[in-house]
Formats: sequence, C-alpha cells, structure tokens
Amino acid sequence: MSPRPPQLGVPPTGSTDSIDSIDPELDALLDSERHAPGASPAARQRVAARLSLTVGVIGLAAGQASAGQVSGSLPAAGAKVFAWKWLAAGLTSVAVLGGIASGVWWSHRSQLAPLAPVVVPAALPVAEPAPQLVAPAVEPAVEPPVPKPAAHRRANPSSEYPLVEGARSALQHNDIAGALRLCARHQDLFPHGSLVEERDSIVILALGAAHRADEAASRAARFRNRYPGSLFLPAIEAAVENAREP
Amino acid sequence: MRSAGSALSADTEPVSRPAEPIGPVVAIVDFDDLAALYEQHFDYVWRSLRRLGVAPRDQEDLAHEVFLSFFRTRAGFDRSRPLKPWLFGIAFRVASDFRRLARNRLEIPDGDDTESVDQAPDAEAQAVAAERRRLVMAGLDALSLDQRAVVVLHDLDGYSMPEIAEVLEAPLNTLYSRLRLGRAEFGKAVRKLTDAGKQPSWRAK
Repeated sequence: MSPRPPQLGVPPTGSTDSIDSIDPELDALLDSERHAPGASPAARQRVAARLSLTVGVIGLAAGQASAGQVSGSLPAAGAKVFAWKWLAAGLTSVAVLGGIASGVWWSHRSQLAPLAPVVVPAALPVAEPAPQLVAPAVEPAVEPPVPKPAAHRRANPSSEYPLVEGARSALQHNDIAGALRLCARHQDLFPHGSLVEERDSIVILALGAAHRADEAASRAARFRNRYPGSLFLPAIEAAVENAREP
Repeated sequence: MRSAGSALSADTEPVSRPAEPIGPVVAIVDFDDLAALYEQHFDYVWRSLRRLGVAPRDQEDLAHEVFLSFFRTRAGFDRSRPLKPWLFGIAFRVASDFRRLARNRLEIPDGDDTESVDQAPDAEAQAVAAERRRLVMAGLDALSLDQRAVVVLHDLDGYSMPEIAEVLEAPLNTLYSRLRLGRAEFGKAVRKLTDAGKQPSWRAK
C-alpha cells in the first residue's frame, strides 16, 4: 500500500497523488464506469434544442448537433443566422423545461429593474381570457400557477419560472399575444425578479415576431445598454431585423 | 519550413505575431463557438451529472442548466486551464442546488434509457458492463455529494487533488479526508449490495 501523504497540502503532480491506492477490485469496478458511453443522440439533441431556444445558438439545432455540422458561434451566428421562426418551427420536440427545479439556478442572478412596462398589444388577437399555452403534453393548457404579488421582496425564481417559461413556450408556438400577456403578468408580479432579463428578451422577440419593428428596436437598444453581455443579444438583433422584413 | 500552424493561416495575408509569448498553449478552444464547445463536452457533462447522482429523468434539465451557466460565465474562465474540471465544478454546483430541494431528493435510478447503446459487439459483455456501471452508481449513492465529487474527480476522471481543490474550492486536507472516507463508504456499499444479492458479483473472474 502506498504511504499516506507525508505533507498534506503539498501539491502532487498529475493524477498520481501520493495517497492511498484504491482497492484494485474497486478500481476495476470503477473502470467500467470510466468507459461508460455518453448520452444518446436523442438526449443530446433535446438539450441542444433547448439551449438554442434559450440562447439562440443556431448550430445547436436539433438534428444538426453532430460534430461535423455545428458551426454557429453566437457572434458569428448574428442576425442572419438566428431566426425566431426557426425556433417556432424547429423545436416541437422540446419538452417543457424543468420548471421549478431549473429555476434554482437563476437564484444567483442579479436583480435588475425591467426595461419598460410590457404593454399587451391591442391589435394582436387576444380572444380567450386564459391563453392556451400550446405546450407538448406535459403542461396543461392553462396559465401556469403564479403566486401572489411579491413587489418588494426577493423573488423566488421557482415562482417566476412558470410565467417566463410559459411566455417562451407561447412564443415558440406563435402565440405572440399570449407571450406578451404572460410577460406583462410577470412584470406585475415580479418587477425586480430574477428572470427580468429573460422576460425582456422574450418581449422583444415577440414584438419582432409581430413585425412591430420600431418598438422592438427601441426596446432592443435599451436591452443592449442594460445587458451588454447578454447571450440573448444575437437573437434579439435577429428579431429586430426580422421585424423590418415585410 | 512551414510549421503546421502556419498552414492554417491564409497564404496571402501576413499574420502579425506578438513579440513575446503570451502564455502556455494549453488547447485551442474557441470560446465563442458555443456549438463546438457543446459538442466537445456534452458527454462529459452528461456523465458527470449522472455520477453526481442526478436521476436520468433530471439529467437533461440539469445538463441544460450547466451549459447555460457555462455559456454565461465563460468570459471569466482562465483559458490557460483545462476546461473539463471547470465544467465539473458547474455541474457540481447545479447538482448541489438541485439536491437541496426536498422534492428532488436523489433516488437510486431504476434505469437509464437515455444512455447510448454501447457499440461493443458482445451483447453479454455489454450487459455485464452495464450491470457493473449500475453497481458503481449504487455504491456512489452511499456517499455524500461532497465525497462523491472528490471520488468521481479523482478515481474516475483522474484529476489530481490540487486540481480538485481548485474546482471544488475546498482545502486539500478536507479533500483528502473526503476521498478516503468516500472510498471506504463506496467499498462498503458495494460489498453490502453484492453480499445481499441485490447485485451480481462485481469481482473480476
């Protein structure tokens, strides 16, 4: 058996630390895990599609995620590459995001004020009082449950998450009015929430999808100033450009 | 004689080079090519999450979280360092946060239908290997997440303890303790499982 490290804290080199060797039988057992296969292509593509939806990395599109085909860096992707229409059409296989659990990650996000009030467009079709969040199987076709307003206390990302994710899902399914309505509701309930950046980006994408170019552009400019390093920026730029197209 | 690297640059465009070396060349990683980063490291993140005890049904959610975090914070990464340990650190924190929620308490997975099929030709060997991997996971389930992370990084991924100390931001002495205790717990759990007949013998024939 190898001796225990004479001086703990002295950095050994490589992975052959001077600590007790592991039982050879256990080591052999662990060896099977060392050669474990990776994720299935389907799982890999599902996560890629979700990331594409979130950050607008076109190269991560479902079905394009093989090593030889990926090419879309965010800066390179730019406005031309990203298209919200692609998102709406191409991500039908994406399951509803992990909901509350995923919201935990956002707990570390900074608390930022919203860009501006979200105004649900009157011109857009707003027929039903409860928007149909066309979501694949898992999610009921009603608005996600939301807590009571939490104006000045720290927002719980888990509570915010269904609204923002619902808005994202609505936009994904071309329900622009529904997306904006959920964003407005999020703004009412969580004016300084953890997902403000996400909400504001969705609003701009929705305005772009509705070809409300001026509003999208002005909001995009404010968004750019507020979040200069945002990963949503390429998608937003593309949405603004898309809004100008007839 | 041209170097291999110079062949990558356009012949007609002179490339200005810094007068002094800018640092050790560890790897050529384009940190703006998110798609390539995803492709290169997805399997590692996927396996790491599973090794940290994330149930198969939650693996996609958390892999998404890991890459989202990675993409957002990559600007702060010291590019002279290897990327995988950093990714593991993100996975560890994501798994740790996830685990704190009571509703997400870890369960022993009842199967992993998201794992790709091993390409080995021998079906029986595949089955044995899969069984052994399940036993490894069951054994790791006996460890605390902190112990588990050290055992995984050291005994599965092969990282040195100082490297692990950087990833997990913990003192070396603490990590040595976790490794020793973790190994002991792991061995005890594996033996208990096999002795109880819940798992076939893992000892090499």
